[in-house]
Amino acid sequence: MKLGNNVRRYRFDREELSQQRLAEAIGVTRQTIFAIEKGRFVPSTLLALRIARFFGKPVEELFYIIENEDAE
Amino acid sequence: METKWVLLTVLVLTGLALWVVPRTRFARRLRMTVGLFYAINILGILVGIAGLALTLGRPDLVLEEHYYEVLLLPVFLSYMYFALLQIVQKSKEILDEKQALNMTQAAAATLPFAVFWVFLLYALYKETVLTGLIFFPLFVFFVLLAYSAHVLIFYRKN
Repeated sequence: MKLGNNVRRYRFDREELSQQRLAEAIGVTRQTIFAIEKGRFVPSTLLALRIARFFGKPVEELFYIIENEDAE
Repeated sequence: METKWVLLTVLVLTGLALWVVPRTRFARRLRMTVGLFYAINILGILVGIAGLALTLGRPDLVLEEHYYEVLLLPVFLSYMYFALLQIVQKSKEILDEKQALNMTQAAAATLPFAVFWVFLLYALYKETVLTGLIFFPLFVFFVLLAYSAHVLIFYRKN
């Protein structure tokens, strides 16, 4: 089981918002956004909610569970 | 002036700065940046390497002339800067959560290396290759090097 996310997609939907700009808005470093998008870093509930609030979406739209990793 | 008096003066001035700076306008300018995070860990690596080289090359200077404290001073001051930021921002969350996680991962990864290093030092003492109190700076500088390197590796990799 793994955490998937649509952060990159929503970032591009917002006029190709850069990772740096998103990071500054959320209050983290660009490396953190990069690692979240790549699925290498699982954000805390608080950070996930902050990202969801930034995009004005429910957290489940940004983050979801990948049941079968092989299928991804 | 003897090295230990210089060190004591720096310690007193650092303590004073921790009390004075948060009460000044200058405090608002202080912030943690990614560049600073890299710089602190690169500093840890450089100090670790320099400390190991100096301890093995000139143990007399390191142990008797307090050079190992002098070498550790920049690292100590950088950690005091962390403390200052926490006081100024009235928060313990100076680092972002990935940086904090990577520091924890680095600590865990350093542990087996530290244990191995202690076994090696023990063996070298047993064979009388090493004598005296040299184990202490050797241990401190090795752990600093291993920890700082691991922080950067995890930060870049994960």
